[in-house]
Formats: sequence, structure tokens, C-alpha cells
Amino acid sequence: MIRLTCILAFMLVALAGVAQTDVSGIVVEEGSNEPLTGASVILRNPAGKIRKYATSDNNGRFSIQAAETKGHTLDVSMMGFAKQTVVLDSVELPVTVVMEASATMLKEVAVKADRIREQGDTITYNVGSFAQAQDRSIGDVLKRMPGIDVSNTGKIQYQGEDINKFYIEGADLLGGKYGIATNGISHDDVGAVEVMENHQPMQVLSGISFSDKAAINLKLKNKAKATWTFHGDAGGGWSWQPSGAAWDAELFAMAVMSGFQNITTVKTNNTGEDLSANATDFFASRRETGLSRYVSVSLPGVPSLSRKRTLFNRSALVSTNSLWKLKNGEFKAQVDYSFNRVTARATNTTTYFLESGDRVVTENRDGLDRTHSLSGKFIYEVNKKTMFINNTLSTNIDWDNIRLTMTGSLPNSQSAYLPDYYVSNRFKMIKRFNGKHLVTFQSNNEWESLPQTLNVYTAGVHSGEQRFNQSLGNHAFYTHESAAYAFSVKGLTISLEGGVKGYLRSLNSELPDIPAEIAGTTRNVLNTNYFTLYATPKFEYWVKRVNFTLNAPVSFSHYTFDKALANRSEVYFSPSLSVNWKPDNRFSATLRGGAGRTPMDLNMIQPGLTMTDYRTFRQGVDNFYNSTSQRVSASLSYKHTRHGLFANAMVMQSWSHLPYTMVQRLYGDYIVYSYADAASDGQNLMAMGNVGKTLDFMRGSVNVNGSFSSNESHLFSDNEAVNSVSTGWSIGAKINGTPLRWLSFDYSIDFSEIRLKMNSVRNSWLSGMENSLLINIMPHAKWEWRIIGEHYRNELTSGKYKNVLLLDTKLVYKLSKRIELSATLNNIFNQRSYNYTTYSQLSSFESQRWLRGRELLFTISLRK
Amino acid sequence: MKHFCLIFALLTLLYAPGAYAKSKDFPHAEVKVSYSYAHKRLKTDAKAYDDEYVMLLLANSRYSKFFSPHTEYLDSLDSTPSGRALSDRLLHEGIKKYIETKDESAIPAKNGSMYVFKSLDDSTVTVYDQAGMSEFGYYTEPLAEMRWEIGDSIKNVLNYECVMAATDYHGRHWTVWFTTDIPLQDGPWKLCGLPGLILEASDSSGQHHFIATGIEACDNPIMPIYNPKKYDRMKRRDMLKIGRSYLTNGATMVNALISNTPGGERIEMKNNNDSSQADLHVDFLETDYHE
Repeated sequence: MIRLTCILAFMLVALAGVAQTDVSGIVVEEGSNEPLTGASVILRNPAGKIRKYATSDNNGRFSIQAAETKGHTLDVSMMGFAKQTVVLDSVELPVTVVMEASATMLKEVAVKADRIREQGDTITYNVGSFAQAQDRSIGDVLKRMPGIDVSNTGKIQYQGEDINKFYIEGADLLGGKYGIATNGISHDDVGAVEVMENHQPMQVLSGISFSDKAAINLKLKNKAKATWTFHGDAGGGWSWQPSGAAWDAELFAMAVMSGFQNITTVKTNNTGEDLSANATDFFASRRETGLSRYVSVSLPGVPSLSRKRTLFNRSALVSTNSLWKLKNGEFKAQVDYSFNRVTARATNTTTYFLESGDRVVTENRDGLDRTHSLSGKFIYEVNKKTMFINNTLSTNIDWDNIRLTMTGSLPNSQSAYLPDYYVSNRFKMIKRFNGKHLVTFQSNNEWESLPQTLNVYTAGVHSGEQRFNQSLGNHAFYTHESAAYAFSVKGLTISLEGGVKGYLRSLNSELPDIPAEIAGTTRNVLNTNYFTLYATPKFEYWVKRVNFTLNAPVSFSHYTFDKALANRSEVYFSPSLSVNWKPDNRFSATLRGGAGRTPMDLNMIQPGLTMTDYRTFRQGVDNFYNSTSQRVSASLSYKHTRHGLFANAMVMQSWSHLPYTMVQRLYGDYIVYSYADAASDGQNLMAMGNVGKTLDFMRGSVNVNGSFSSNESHLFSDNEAVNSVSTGWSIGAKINGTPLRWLSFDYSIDFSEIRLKMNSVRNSWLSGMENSLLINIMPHAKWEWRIIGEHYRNELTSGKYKNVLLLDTKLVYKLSKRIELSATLNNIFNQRSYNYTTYSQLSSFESQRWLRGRELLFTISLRK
Repeated sequence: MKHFCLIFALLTLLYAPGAYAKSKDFPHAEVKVSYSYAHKRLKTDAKAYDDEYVMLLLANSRYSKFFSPHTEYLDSLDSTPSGRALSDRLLHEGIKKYIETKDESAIPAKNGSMYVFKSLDDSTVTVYDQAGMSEFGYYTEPLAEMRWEIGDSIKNVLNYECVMAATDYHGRHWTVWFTTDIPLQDGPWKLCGLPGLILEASDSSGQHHFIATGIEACDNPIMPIYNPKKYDRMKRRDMLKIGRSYLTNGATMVNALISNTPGGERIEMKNNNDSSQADLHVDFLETDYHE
């Protein structure tokens, strides 16, 4: 609505057509009548063409000399005011134009200048330009940045490769446990995310050793620096299934100062989020103690639904991480404790259509898993251009207690007690002198104990009441000392690493009783030890824009088995080559290949039977084997930061040749796994691709990904050779944006198909599809309303689908910048189960699983 | 020749005077407009290169700033010790990479050094820029009284209906497209004074072209320039003359600088400056300094 007021001030006498008309006047603000400076005044002819124009001066006055004014109009406009149009024929001059305050509506087109910036090897993403209203943590925003991928576990990849460091303001506080930061730090405290390509974390190696990994650095806003920041949520409410009180609370504190950093977080919930994933160490190297679990009892799961919908948990996590900068280096201490209690239930009903009448077999499983995990890591590090020292002491204690009760054809109850104790110390020192020479010393020592206990009580129809007790002691000590020398000349780096490794492991297992159907020894007393001397020459060569890296490790190992097996000595050689070509800043291609001979997994040496769960037994080999394998892979990546385009693709093929083959045998209701002296060849093909692009018109981004894999393996099942090939492919897309000022959304779709071929019998393809849509409506600055829908369409048997639709909603009220209140209603329709039935000619199979039911939660969020 | 650009970048980046403006009540913008600035420019070998980068206009009715956000980011780094450390690191990594790969884009380079501040209250425009190899200057002029001829042509830029206008200014003939829907008498670079925001501008030689690529409502503070102390007050035409002479004779100047090492040994530099192949018709936004 344009409201116009014209006031006659005083009159100038002028005769039309005789002289020029002075179209003059004054522009004032409505209400105050204050003159407005800088308003645009445009004189338009009857056709709307601009004839003359002026600007109001410091007194709000303007004046335009015009030869003709008949039918002309005067447009007066100014930022922050509604435009006024004066028809000159209807007013007397000079006019007073009263401007009414009103936001000038811009047809906004996002300014994309600085969403992604590129500077040498550093790509900088502006967090504010990727965050959507529904986002909370920096992890939510990282997912939207093209080129960056965050998996469900929280692991971050850049252009298809895992990152090798995660920094906060340039300091590596958390190491691989960066999930604490991505899940905890509010995106509002982060100004920019920097990705450093080809990041070499050890300065001493820079310019000498090539890295194809990238690192991420969070640049905090000034308000979050040099101070403590806090935020916390406390939510409570009611859940319909499991029926009872529901809670979800979190407290997060962070200090980022020049000499000290700390992140401490406390979280607890029973609303379906497994918190132990928050403290996963994504950089953890494989434990060289190499112990494996012989006992494996797992809770029934729900296929193809998001874990948050099906996890019945009580979880808590406490994590505190500190970093002190010392005169020469830094000291870090990380302590975490997590607790997770999960219950699960499942029912399967099989009906056999028999002439004598239907026979119904029902099987119920009901389980409880309690896990405590305590870990501490203490690190001293000096990272300088001429010297690198790192000493990491870590300890890990896990307690895992599982109880699973089954009723049905083989009623039983199982309880497993699986604690794990682990201590390691890793020391590494690299010294660089004369710029081109490097000397490295390393000493790693690890100890682990993995005792395992399984108690099974069965009350079978045929066998009557029986008890089995599997107890197992499993300890290992590993030590590794090495020295390396490297020098670099004219783009060629040659290094030679040599060292010794020692390994002592003992296995002691007892199973006093076994089912009558199975025969064999059930006791293992065994030592598997080795001593290895090795040398690894490595060549790295830079020419033009190509990096060649050749690794040629040679080792001699002597194995001793304490009379269980004959002692033996082996020589291994496993060369690998990689070539990276980076013609410019946008494109990079890598080819890798390798071949080698490796010793078997020593855990396979096990002459006596062990019990894995109530119906599965395992027996290892009593011989020593070596296997060979080959692999080739190629990967490509492309980026165009100005267009916000990132793409990568990878293909890998590997072959393995094993001198043994797994054998599966059925004895009544029991299954026994063992190995036969028969060669088996397997192969694996994998390909994947990913394209991400910013969508600037709606401040969003889009991502499309696809993958294919095919895996061939062999086993004997009851003396029949089974060659199985599993093939699968998937395609997915994600898109998000803020198309309107009051509306933002997230949409993702994933479609996958798998097929299993056994001995040339092809099962049909089975597909799964998942759609999820979040719509966030912001009717007012203080209010937000979210609707979340998830749809699953899982193919059970060929052509038969199970559909599940789940709806959630959330209402947010922002009381102030620091306080936010919200109400969440999850699973509005209170869908409590995931049931389906499939039919064959002679039977039907009905499966029943449980979902988290409706849940109402009221939350208050505070931040400092 | 590429070495000269390298040294140029080095000098630009390492130059680091201390003080920077402490926060106070800066004017706040009402709109943020991004322009793509496509142009031809000479490098120190006096050859023409095509360049294109993003410039931002932060403006309210009374005050505006036109600048490259990328350049400002690098300048902001140079204004604090930790920033200088980062920019040193970036530069060293860049140089190393450049030496390995000969990829010039690896070296952190600024997108020009120009900042244009227009103040309607004072009726002045203040321009900060680099003059020559290592000098930085600024000048303040009355807001240009560009005599605009408004034409009849109309076209759409970013979905805004724009009217054509033309003017002669400091040696070049400019054709611009402005929209009365955004009542700011502003535009890219020094162009202003029309009854609406200029969204596109091109000069008749085709050497300089600005076009808006984004527009947003915005209330960011319009921050003053970083390191004001590094800029000396200069005359506009002098700044341009120095800059031009650096580009056309820069190779010789840099040669002289490099080949006379502090140790006294002379480094033989190959001079492949062939003035007959120079693209001397390519010039700055203003060409009236030749007069």
C-alpha cells in the first residue's frame, strides 16, 4: 500500500510552455517530518521512461528542471522506505513527499563470493553460508559441504579419502576422537572450516614425504576464543515404547586459549543414540596384539532401519580432553568413560503346512547388553621443522556383558562376559639434519588380555537340559623397535627402515562339556610366538607433477609354537607402488598396486573346539599357512572451488589365494566351522563415485553418490563346495537449502540392490530404498517448526515389499539468544513394530521386531 | 618472468605494519552485492592476461566499500602476528609447490589491491591501491560528477530490470545497467550517481567488465581498511603512472633488484622483455594519466 500525502507549501507562478518547469520539493520521513537525505527522485514521462533524476540534499530538497511535465510522474525511493509515486498533474509544486518506513524487499541472489575459498592447498568453507536453521553442531554443517563426507559413524572423508588430522585453531586436541568436537561444538562458534590438502602432519617430513591425505581445521569465531564456551541441553519426557520416562541431556564446555585447550562433555540419553560412537578413535592404528574374539553373542537387530529408530538404550558418556602447550612441545591428556545398556527383542514364527495339520514353531529372543568402556591417552609431542618426537601412552579397559534368552525349538539362555584390557606405549622420534637427511627411531610396546567366558543353558526337546561353559584366556605382548634413515636429493627421497618385532601370545581354552552330537577335543593350550627382522626400502620421486612411491618391505620371521606345531622360518616380500599425478590444483589421479605373501592370522591355529554361541562351534587349523594376494586401484578427484564443484571416483580390484578353505558342518542343531586343506581363491571388485555441488540460489548444496561391489568367496558346506558371489550396487542423493526466507529443507534418497549367487544359482535382486525429508518452517524469528518424515521400502523376497513411514515433529521457541525451548514428538503414529511374513510352498515365515514408539520430549537449551 | 610475480607476491604478503583498527561503531551495510570483475591486465612482462575474480560492494544509502574479499582476507592476516605466521606458512608452502610443479596458482596471490570507499555525507571517494612494486597509496577525490546519459534500452540482470546509461570518465567510455528497484546511487568501482544501483558496467574497449552475481540484504559493519599506515597519500595520476611504469619496465626494475645481491655477486638474469610484443593497449580502469 502506498500512501501519499501532498501538501501545498507556496506557489511559484509559471506558465506552461513558456519556460522550463522547476519540479522541486522536499522528502520527509513520515511521523517525524524530518527531511531525508539521499533519496532518489526520478522524473518519468507518460511512457515510463526516465527523463531526469536527482537526489535529495542534506535538507531533503530536490529540484529538477524539466521542459515538459504533462502526464509525467515523480518516483521517490530510498532504502528502508516504501517507494512513492507522485502524478505531477495532480499536485502543485513544490511537493512534499512523505516516505513511509518499510523494508526494501530485495530479490536476493546469494552472494557466493566466499562460500568456498581456495588458497594454495587450503580450501576454506564459510560455515555460515552452509548452515541451515535446523543445524546445531558443526558436524551437521560439515555434511553439507561439497567434497566433505561424514559417515553415520562420524568419520570424515575429503574427496573420498579419510582425513589424517583434525585441528581446532591449529591444535590437535582430540586426535582421532574428533567426533567429540563435531558432535559437540556449536556451528555458531565456528567461522570457517579449512581443509588442508596433501597435509603432512609431521613438519619434519614436509617437502620430503608426500601425503595424499587432507586435514581439517576449525577456525573459531573470536567470541569463542580465549574464553570458556558452554552449552547444555536438558530434555525430559515420556516414551510409549519402551514405556516410561525418556531423557536426553548434554553439557559441553570448551576452552580454546593460546597455551591451553580443553573440551569436556557429559551426555546421557535413553532415546536411541549410542554415545560410545562419539568417542571412537578414527585414527587408531590396528592393535598389533591381534587378539580376536572366539565368543560372539549378539543381540537381534532390525534390518534396514535407522539405528535411532530401533535402539532401546540407556547411554552415558563423559569425556575430558586437555592440551597444554609447553616450551618445546605439547602435552595432551584424553580420558573417556562410556556406558551403554541395550535391550533387544525379536520373534520369528515359522508355520509348516503339513498334511497332518499345521506345525507352528515360535522362536523368541530377548537380550541385554551392558558395556562399560574406560580409556585414557597421554601424549607428549614435539613437532618442529628439524625434530619430531611423539610418545603416546594409552590404556583401554572394556567390559562387555551380554545376556540372551531364547525360547522356541532350541530354548536356551546364554550369558557372555567379555572384558578387554589393553595398554600400549608408542614412541617415535624423527630428526632432520642438513635439510635433506632424516633419522627415525621408533619403539612400540603393546599388551592385551582378552579373557572370554560363555555360559549356555539349553533345554532342548531332544537333548534335555544341558549346560556348557566355555572359558578362554587370551594374552599377547608385542614389541617393535625400528630405526630409519632417509635422505632427499633432487626430488628423490630414499629411505631405509629396519627393525625387529617380537610377539608372544598364549591361548588357553576349556569347554568341559559339549553336545553329544559333536566329537573332538575341547581344550587348547597354545603359544604362538614369532620373531621378525625386517627391512623396508622406500623410494619417493617427484618429477613434473607426478609423485612415485615404491615400497619394498622384506622380512624374515621365525615362528615358534611350543610343540603344538612344528617351528618354522619364513621370508616375506610385499612390494607396492603408487603414482600420484596432480597436473593442476583441480585435478588429481592416483594409481596404486601391490602384491605380496603374508602369514596367516595366528588366531586360526586352534586344534580344539571352542564354542562361539549356543549353536556354533569353531575349530582352527593345526598347520601353518601363507597366503598371497594382489591388488590394484585407481582414484580420481576433481574440484572447482569457484563453482563449488567437487567430484571423486575410485575403483579397486583385489585377488586372494588361500591354501585353506572354510568348512561348515551341521550336527543336528549345531554348526561347526573348521578349515580344510584345499586352496581357495577369492576376488573383490569395488567402485564408488561422489559428486557434490553448492546450490547458491538457495544457499544449499547437493550430493550424488553411487557404488558397486562384487565379492567372490568359497566354502564347503557339508562336503559340498559352495562358490558364492555377492553383488551389490547403490545410488543416493542428498539436497538441502533455504529456498525461501522462512523455509529450509533436507532431503535424501538412497536406493540399493543386492544379489547372492551360489554355485551358479542366482537369487533374485533384493532392493532397499530409504527416503527422508526434513522441512523447517520459520514463521517468525523466535519460532521454528520442523517436520521430519522417513520412508523405508525394503524388498523381502522378490517383488514383495515392506513399507514403513515414520513421522516426527519439533517446535522450537527461542526465548533469547541464550535460551531455547523445544518440544519434540517422535514417531507420531506410534508405530511399534516391524513385522513381515514371507511364504514359500510349504511354509510361512513371520518375523517381528520392535521399534521405538512415540516419544514426547521437552528440552531447554542454554548457551554461554 | 614468473619469478617476478613470485617476488611481487612475496613482498606484498610480507609487508606487515602493526596497528589495525579496533572495533568501534562502524557504519552498517544494508546490502551486499557481489560482482564478477573480468578484465585484461598487464603483468610485469607487459603482456596482457585475462583475469576474473569476485569483488564485493557493501553499501548503505550514505556509505559504501568496494573491495575484493579475498584480498581483504590476506590483508587481514597481515594485520596480526598469528595471521602473519599463517600467511608466511601459506606462502612458503605455495612457493615450494610452485617450484615443484611450476603451477603459478599455488602461490597465494591477491585479487588486486584496490579498496574504494564512497561517502555521500562528505561527497568524497577514497581509493586505496598498490602503486608499483611495493608502494601503497591512497587518494580522496570529490564524488565524481559523472554526466550520465540515460538510454532507452532495458535488460535483466539477476532478475532486476535494468536501464542503460553511459558516461565518459577519466579516459574511458562506460556503458552501465542500473536498476531503480534498489535506490542506492552506487555501483562497482567508482561508478555511481545514478538513481539506482549499477548491476553491470563495461568499458568500450572491452578490457573491463563488472557484472553483479549476487545480492543480499545484510547488516554487516563496513570495516575500514586493514593496516592504514602502509598507505601514503598520493595523487591519483601519480599512482597510476607509477603502476604503469612498473608494469612496462618492471622486469628491468626487478632484475636490477635481484641481480645486485647484498653479497655483491651478480646474478645474470635473462631479459626476455621484448617491448615490440608488449600489449601496451591494455590499461587500467582510468587512462587519463597519460595526458
